[in-house]
Amino acid sequence: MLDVREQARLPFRRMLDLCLDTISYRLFRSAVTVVIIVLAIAFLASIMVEGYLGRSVRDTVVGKTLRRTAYSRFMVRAGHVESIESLLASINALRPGTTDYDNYMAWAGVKTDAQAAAFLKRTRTAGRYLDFFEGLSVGRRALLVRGERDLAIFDWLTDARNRESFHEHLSKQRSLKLPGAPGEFDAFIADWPATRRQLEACRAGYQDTVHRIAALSGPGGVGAALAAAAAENRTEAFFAQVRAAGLRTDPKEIPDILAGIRYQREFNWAIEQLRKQPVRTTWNREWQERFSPTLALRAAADSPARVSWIAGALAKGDAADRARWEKEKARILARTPEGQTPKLPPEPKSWSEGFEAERFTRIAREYAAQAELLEAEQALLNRYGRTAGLSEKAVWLILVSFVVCVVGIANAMLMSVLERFKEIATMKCLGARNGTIGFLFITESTIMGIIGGVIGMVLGFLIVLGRMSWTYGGMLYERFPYESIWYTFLMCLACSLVLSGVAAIYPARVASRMAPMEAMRVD
Amino acid sequence: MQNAEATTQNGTEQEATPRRRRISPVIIRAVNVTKEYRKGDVVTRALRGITCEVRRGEFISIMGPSGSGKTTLFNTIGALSTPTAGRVLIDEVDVAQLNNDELAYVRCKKIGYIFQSYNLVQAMTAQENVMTAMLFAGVIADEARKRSMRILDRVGLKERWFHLPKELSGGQQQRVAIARALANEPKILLCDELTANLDLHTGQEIINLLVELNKEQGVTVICSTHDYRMLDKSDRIFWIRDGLIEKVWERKDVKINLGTIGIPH
Ligand SMILES: Nc1ncnc2c1ncn2[C@@H]1O[C@H](COP(=O)(O)OP(=O)(O)O)[C@@H](O)[C@H]1O
Ligand SMILES: [Mg+2]
Repeated sequence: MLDVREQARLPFRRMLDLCLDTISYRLFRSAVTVVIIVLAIAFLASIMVEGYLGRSVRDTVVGKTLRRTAYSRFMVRAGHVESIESLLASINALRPGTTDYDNYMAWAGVKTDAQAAAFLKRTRTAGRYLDFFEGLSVGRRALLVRGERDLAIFDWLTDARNRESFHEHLSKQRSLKLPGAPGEFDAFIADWPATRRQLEACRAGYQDTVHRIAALSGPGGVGAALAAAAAENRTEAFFAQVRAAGLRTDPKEIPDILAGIRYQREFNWAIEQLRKQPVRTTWNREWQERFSPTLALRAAADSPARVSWIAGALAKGDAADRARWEKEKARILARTPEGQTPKLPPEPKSWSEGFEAERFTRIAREYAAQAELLEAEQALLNRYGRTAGLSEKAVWLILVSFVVCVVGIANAMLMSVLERFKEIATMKCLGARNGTIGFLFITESTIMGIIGGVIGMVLGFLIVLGRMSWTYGGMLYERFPYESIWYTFLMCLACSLVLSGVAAIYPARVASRMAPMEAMRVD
Repeated sequence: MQNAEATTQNGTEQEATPRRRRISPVIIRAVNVTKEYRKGDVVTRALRGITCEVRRGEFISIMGPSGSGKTTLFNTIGALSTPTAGRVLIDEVDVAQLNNDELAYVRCKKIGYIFQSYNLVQAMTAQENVMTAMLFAGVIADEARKRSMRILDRVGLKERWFHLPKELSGGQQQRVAIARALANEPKILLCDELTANLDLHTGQEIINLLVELNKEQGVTVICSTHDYRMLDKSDRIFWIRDGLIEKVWERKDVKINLGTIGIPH
């Protein structure tokens, strides 16, 4: 046999050495590649981290406002009847096992679990189709259902001729599709009168309960009655009465409801202070702003000067009233003939009486915190919704950034390959296998990918963390989503590996196929 | 690592066993080699039917005007490119029959290349440049480090092993290149325009170094050159013109004609 064998493979460690040498020698070029990766991965990391942190803050805030919700829910249930659409939404938001669930089921006259399941199935279907119609443009709604709105749409569709025209128009709208299986909608409409009757029965039950509670509460309303009950230490009896009237209350929520009532009374008192005439009339002049009482209360939260100003305004009002009263009294006394009792005007009532600066400040602070929390909750719910996962738009943006990243790296690597043609060809003359050369470039790119990926994910994470802790402060750390953040890091690392690897495929191919003859070229 | 060991073991085994195979005195044989470069419709015929033999341990100079095909000849007999027609046998192995990885083996183990522009890897020190060639051959790193230092010592660069190519003079870079070419103890050294980029004195030193290697280790050296100082060191001189070997001088002819030899045209 002739003495020719296949060439040995270069061990991976040596390959790493070679790559690190080249990377550090061409530091600027490598840095450009790393920066491209850093940008793409930082983008991914920031979007993911923001999503996770945002949802954790959202949950924290919602958890905090839930206590307040117990109070407002009780007040709504005990004092107002919902519209039938709102009733439908409330029913669809119910969770089994809660007292609220029991309340609605009782009002709807549902007795067994099977009945409840059937009822909920109907309301859920109705909710889904209602969402579908709500999502239509005005023009389409005019075309499809003659501009009917809300549950009236279903009423309108109950008529066979209307339904026919609806289906005819719908079939022409290719981009529109009714949710659910075919035929399900017609079945639902056929059933709709029964569904509506049940919803109305539920609403009637609700209404009866509200009437009964109003009757037992007296003219001041439920709030006053409950406050009075709390003052006389007979809340248990009160809630038992309310329950007898048809509204169950979760015992766990009672402390929150009571706290809500107390808070409401304090809040009313503070607003009353701000509505006092001397405060109201001088308010705008002094602060040059048009405050509503609630805004004024918020503004007072972080400024003792404003609170003392309110006290001063009240005192000044008192003094002015007193002076006017004295003057009037003197005038009447001067006019009154001797011996006759003068008809003196009544002494003016004091504005500042009952104003306590400390109490006012405390309420203002509490209110401001509450308001901020509510605003945050609203903003967070708008922004992060109730769902998990990335939005479609975010996914799209990330994909675009990935494509840009891959193209950028591939370009940089290709430049580097073409620039180093002589070096590559020389290595082949020294006995490097084609595969070794290709793998060398993939490894080089991957190393830069890992470096860029780590920098990128830390950078993206820190930026988002900084920005969000600026906005939300300590709330951010109350339910810090460690697991999701780790997951994000893993994801970023995997993405940077895949991106840099994929980007290097073509340049590596070019390098591995380079003719060793090129080494001889002189230019 | 395993690979490396296997290779060295195999190597020694073969040395040790009595050689059944008749060792041909011819190490490179080119038979009617032509090479054409095609670019669109334009065909450049760089080699037009070269037939030659190089014997083991010979010192051969290839001379010829620029563009006559010296580099192309080197590419083909050095297993860097395949001829358009004809056959090239290195150690009696037809290069055209080898796959990529076997070609890599031939380039690594049998031939050392020395390039006109040195072609050192700029990112590596002199020692790493030499060592990399050994790593490709599967030598383990520690061994390669030791051996590369020994070879650098042999070419007179022991003190400068840690310098990057850009920190070395042309002659020193050429020495590193020679050391690298010697890394895997090749049987053939191919030097393209060996002294073209060097001054007279350095050129002479490099020539002397090659002659010593040729004498001491029996390496077959093939140089393309314009340098007349090479001529009386060479065993044979091929004169190439327009892709054909026009003349071959033996050493004795050269000696006789040394005074009168010039460029025949
Ligand atoms: N890669 C190539 N593509 C096209 N033509 C080439 C190529 N390499 C060399 N040639 C041509 O082949 C001929 C021989 O070139 P070369 O072997 O480099 O000569 P020398 O090394 O003797 O100067 C020249 O005419 C040159 O233009
Ligand atoms: Mg040339």
